[in-house]
Amino acid sequence: MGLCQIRCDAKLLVVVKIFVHKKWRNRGIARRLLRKAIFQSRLTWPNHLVVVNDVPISGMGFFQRFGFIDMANSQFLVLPVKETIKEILTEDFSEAELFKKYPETPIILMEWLNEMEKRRSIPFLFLIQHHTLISRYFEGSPLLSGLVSCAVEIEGGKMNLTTSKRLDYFNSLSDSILNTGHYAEIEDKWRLFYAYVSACLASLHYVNGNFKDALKECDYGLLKGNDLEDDSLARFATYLCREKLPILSILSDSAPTKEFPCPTPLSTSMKIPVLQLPSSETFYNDFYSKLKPLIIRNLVDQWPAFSKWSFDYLVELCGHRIVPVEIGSKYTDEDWRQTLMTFYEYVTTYIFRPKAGMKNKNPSEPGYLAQHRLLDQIPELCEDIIIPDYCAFGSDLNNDENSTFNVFIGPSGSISPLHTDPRHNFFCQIRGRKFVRLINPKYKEKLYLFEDMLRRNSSQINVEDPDLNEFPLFADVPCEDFVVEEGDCLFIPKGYFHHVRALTESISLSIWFGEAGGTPLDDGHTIG
Amino acid sequence: MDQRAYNFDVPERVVQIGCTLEFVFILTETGGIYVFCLKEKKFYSLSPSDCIWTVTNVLISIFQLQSESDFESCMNIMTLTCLSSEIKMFSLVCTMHAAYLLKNDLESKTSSIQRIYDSRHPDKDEIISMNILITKIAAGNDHILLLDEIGSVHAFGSGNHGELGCGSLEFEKKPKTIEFFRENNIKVVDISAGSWHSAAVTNTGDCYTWGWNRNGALGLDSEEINIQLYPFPIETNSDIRVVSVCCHSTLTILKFENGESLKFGCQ
Repeated sequence: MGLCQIRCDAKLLVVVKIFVHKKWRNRGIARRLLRKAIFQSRLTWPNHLVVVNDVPISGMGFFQRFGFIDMANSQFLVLPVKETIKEILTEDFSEAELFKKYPETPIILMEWLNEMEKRRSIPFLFLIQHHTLISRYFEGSPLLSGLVSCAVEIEGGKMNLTTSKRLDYFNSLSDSILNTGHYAEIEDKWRLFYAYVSACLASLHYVNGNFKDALKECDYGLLKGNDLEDDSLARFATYLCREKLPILSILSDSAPTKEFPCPTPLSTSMKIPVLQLPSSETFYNDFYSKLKPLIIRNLVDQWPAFSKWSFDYLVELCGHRIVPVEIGSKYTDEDWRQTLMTFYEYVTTYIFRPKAGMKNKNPSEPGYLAQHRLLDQIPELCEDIIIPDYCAFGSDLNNDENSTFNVFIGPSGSISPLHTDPRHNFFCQIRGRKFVRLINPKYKEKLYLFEDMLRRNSSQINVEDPDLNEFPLFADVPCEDFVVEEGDCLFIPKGYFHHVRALTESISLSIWFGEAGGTPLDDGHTIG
Repeated sequence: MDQRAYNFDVPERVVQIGCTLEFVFILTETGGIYVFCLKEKKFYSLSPSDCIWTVTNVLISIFQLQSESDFESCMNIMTLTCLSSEIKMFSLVCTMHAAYLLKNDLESKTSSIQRIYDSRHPDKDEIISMNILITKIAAGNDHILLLDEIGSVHAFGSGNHGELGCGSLEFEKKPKTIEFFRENNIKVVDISAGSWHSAAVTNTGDCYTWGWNRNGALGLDSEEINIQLYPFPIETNSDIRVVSVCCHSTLTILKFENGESLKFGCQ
């Protein structure tokens, strides 16, 4: 009666031939043959895309009615997975731009899929398994193939009872791995795997209309894992916030916490020098190479963030996003801990509290959103920052260490006790005022540092009001003080001890640049 | 997902099986060890004395804990083995990444713990010697507990959730004695380890836990207490003595003298 031939070609199933004998045409036989052939081939290669090329005009109608999508010049058709059809049709792009030449090999199709994926907001779950790192780390692993089978089911709308059960298994397994041992020793592959699991869970929630849960999974994946190679999780999260969730705002009758009184100077206090946007030469010769702190003005106030980043703006942009909050007065305390909550919940509980009369949920301990890589989690915020040119001094031919951005957002009174970091820091004040006290690392023997691994970069002394009976050597240690205002940028040389106290509610950004290590305090653990 | 059963014929009697993320370890009566590699679906035998891997062409039967009822029946078997006072010559436990073999020399009354494989340090070998017999060894995701003949408990490995019970979050390379029991003259008769927590039963029928209180595994309110750095007694609201304890992931099950059991946390 007829024949249909499908050939498996790397990652594609190519319909090579379909033919029905003249006597048997127009009875739907070709359609049934094709369906059966596709079904049989998908049994062996469930994840391959079905394509057909070189279709004559007369045959176009048949394939299009079957469900094939026309990719370029009617010479190449793809039978996509169900979900993707909707997305392709709603995306505003020109095929001609993407398909410059006739796709002779599957590699080009993969590149096209990659490009398409970058424009989509919803993760293309099927494609993630082919990302460079994931396919290299997990080649042949039953863990990956198991996860991909869940991914394909979710994407194709063919979920069954075991899909979410299997996903939960992968979720608890990867979560278990990420919590075992020292976090720095955990291989990156498990972070990527966790991100893939999160993408699947988020998509599952999305398909079921649970947008808040979908966003939560994205954020968990971003916080505990690494984002996927094409930033799927961050893009999906932004899409969910912007299109699917209600806009949040701080209540108009909320009040910020009371201003913290500025600590008094010690007998050994000096002021940190201030310069208005010094030349690179001046900065390099007088401060960077000599490892001397400096306040730089006219730098941060040029940033878009300087005018844009108010608490209202950030709540509107990231209110639904989950962030890590430190609970407890300071991280050197025994009962200090970290917890996760939405940004909105953090701001409205710990910074802008509803006035008395409304349900009073005043927390018993302070909370601080400190040292968090918010710009990795929400990449759009990077557009509001201009990396200072001075950061270039930190890179050379031997290292192309990238700058790390950490945000510090908290109420008045938020404190980072005296400690040191292994990299140079541009500490930029965007909103509010902070008191800083710096101490040259050559005095570290007089600073009574903690002995345990976790805190050995920190001092036991409260330098705002030092107890000279308990810490007598500190009496003659010189301190460099300053009240950092909005628009100021403080250069903290690597290894320099610093103590920071927020006088008002504040938003700061620290930029770590340059190589780690080589400070008087042999590099160890780093905390904010 | 691969759910085939592989059948395996071991030349000697199998006494214990343990799993890491990538391997299954089988211990025989005479201290022989066989290893199944999940990725390669291949099987190896390991001679602990010289750590040479040789390929043999046999397959193995793997089982996996699917539900809490599986776990409770396993616990019953473990309770029976623990109640027997015989000190075992060989014992095998696995953390997430490594397998450890405990060898007791009943004549010289000493013991050794050998790390026979660690996927994070595949080329390094470690043997720890103890001057006392170890009656029980237990492993969590990345920590090991040892119970010795006189009722002291020692711990080593990752401590960053407080699971070593020594009051700090540091990693310990060598076994550190949990001073709490010694200082308070407490004799421990049973120990067990979950993923990130530890538990001990004393000769007076009390149970202590320490480590990460995730999902309430320590028997404490998970909103209030996150980590316990030292052993802390569990309230059982009953005078009946606890005879054994079994931990798995973030679950703790106590077994009482009258046969009843009490559960904290979940899997």
